[in-house]
Amino acid sequence: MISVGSKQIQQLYIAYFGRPADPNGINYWLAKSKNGSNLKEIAIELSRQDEYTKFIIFNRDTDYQINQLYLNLFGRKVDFEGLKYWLSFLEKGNYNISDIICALISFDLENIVNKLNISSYDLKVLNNRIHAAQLFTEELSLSLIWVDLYRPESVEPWKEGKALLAGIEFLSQVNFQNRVTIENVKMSLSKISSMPIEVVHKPVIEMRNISLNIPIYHSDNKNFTSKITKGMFKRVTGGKLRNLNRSTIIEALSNLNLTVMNGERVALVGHNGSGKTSFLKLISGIYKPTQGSLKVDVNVYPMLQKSFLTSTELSGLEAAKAHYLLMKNCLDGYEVFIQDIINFSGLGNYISLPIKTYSEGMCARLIFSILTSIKHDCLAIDEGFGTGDAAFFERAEQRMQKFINSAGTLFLASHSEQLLRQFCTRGIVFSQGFIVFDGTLDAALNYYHTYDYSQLCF
Amino acid sequence: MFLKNIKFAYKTRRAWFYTATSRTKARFARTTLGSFWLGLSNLLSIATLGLVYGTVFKVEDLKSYFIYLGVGLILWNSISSSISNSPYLFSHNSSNIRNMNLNALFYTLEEWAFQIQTFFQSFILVFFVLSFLDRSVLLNFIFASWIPLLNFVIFLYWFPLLICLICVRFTDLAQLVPILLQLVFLISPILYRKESLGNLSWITNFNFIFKILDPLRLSIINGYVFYGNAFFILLINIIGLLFSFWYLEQEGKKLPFLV
Repeated sequence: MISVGSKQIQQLYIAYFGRPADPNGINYWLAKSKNGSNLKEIAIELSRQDEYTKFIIFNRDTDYQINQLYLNLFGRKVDFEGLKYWLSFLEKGNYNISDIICALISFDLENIVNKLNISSYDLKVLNNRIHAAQLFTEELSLSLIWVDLYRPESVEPWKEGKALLAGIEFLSQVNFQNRVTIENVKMSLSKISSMPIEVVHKPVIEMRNISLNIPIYHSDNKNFTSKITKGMFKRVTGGKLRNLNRSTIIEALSNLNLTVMNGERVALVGHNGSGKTSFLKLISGIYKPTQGSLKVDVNVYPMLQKSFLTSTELSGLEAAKAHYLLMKNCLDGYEVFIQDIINFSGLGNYISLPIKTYSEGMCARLIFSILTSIKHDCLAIDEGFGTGDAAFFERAEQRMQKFINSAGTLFLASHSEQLLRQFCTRGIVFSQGFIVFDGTLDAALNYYHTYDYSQLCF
Repeated sequence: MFLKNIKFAYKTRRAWFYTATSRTKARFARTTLGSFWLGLSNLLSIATLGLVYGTVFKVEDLKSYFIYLGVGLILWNSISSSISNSPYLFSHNSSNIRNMNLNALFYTLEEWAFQIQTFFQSFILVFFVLSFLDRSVLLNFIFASWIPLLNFVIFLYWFPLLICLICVRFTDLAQLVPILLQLVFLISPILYRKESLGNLSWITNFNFIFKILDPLRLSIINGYVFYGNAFFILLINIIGLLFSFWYLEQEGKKLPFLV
């Protein structure tokens, strides 16, 4: 059996939907093809998609459907001879629109060309459209942000939305003379989002074969850790434990390969001890990789801090000032900063009292207020980040949302799917220090819930 | 590496200087006299030790002995305090080291600034009192002591940093530091004159801490500066500084796991 290629899938998308395929769609149908589906079966399945049945041919007759196919493929309506031929073809037996599409795009084109007056002009338009669609999908696949944006506005009920309409408009402009360039694609993509393409396509973090080993220096647990490393205890969490000559190491992260583009919103998913926090500390520079190459072109700000820079004998004002000086290296704008902290934290006059007189909740309020008061290009946030009592929590949520939205790139480690869905588009699943899945958030969460974690147990 | 560190130190100077000042404030937060205690406590020790050891050693010129002891003791206290605090520098900042992506150099600079601030605050009061005993010390300090003072200030940074880095990795050594400091204090001519060591005066040639302290003391008390020796120590200091920067770079990667 001949497996279906991405070019053929692209042709099916052009024929049915008049737009370039999305990378996820291509991958999905390629996977189907690997599992045994042939072109005909894929074409039939596509003809049953809501996008086709509810948007393209909704309650319309066969003439319209054939006309639409010709418009999508060749940029013109079907001629009289052609229409007559296809109508009689459908009347002959158990044929439907998918058979016409398969005949038109495949394959048997030489015969059809002779029978249906399909000119070299038409073939040129078709080739130009296939080229344009491939270029569009390739450019789109460079960033998960674009992949995520290029989808319908609503699936149930089906609404095409501006992203897919931009794809249709892009392809409809490709004709006989028009050979699409990458600039044309970028211009078309810019209609989907106001975000400049150059910004999204700039990698901010690139890691190749990164591993992180955490050495255990405590001598009093040598006996215990050596027992663990000999496999006495079965475990489902944490990196691999190894006993070297005279020390124990935890392989916190292993063989990570990853590229994150500017502006991406990445959710880190995984069990406790799967490597999420180690990953956050690695990209923010707290940990250095044991091996591999790590390129970070953005200042990653870790929201992991749980203590102040100054002594607790000193006041909240002094703690805030120290933090401000560290971030800004000067006191310009400090008045606004401190006023915002006083107002938001609700500490009032307590801000002038020594921190040691604060309750834990007050400390959490102050830390949260301080850390969220300055914008950062890239944030690395761990779920354990406290926000004080329930009354403060609601206000903190709003501020957090504003704060996260103001950041360019985001890494968020959490077990709360609601939180992840609120802020992230890409999901990375960790298990025992490995990245076991990297893709769209929905797919990552689905993978996380269905993945057999015992596979990785050492 | 050296330039990168200097650049970082300059860029963040206001932050580490401020946190160092805050530490001094925190230290005396509940006292009435505040940081005035720094000088006052030194003056009390100088007065007590001066009277006791002046009597024990049967010193004839008590005035010059007080100046000798006062300057020596205040310099020693700064060196001793810097070294004895150093093994625990990173562990005191462990939470921030594990959760902030702040260069470890920041903590060392803050500690250095704290020690320098402490030194000058105590030195000013002691110096003010000593200048009543001999006015020339003020002129000597202004005109003669720049290079020895520079050596002293650089030494206060790199040597404790080196001790700190060694002790954070080999924690048993941290237990030895106070004992060694006590021994160095006793074999260094601070309470007594170098001549009192007699045949054992060669010991001072191998006492590097004394080699930093003595030229500065001499320049303040007598206005003498042996420039050849001072520049040689400056060279050693620069090598020490470079080495400790390099060592910090190496050990810095492991710091979050060590503290």
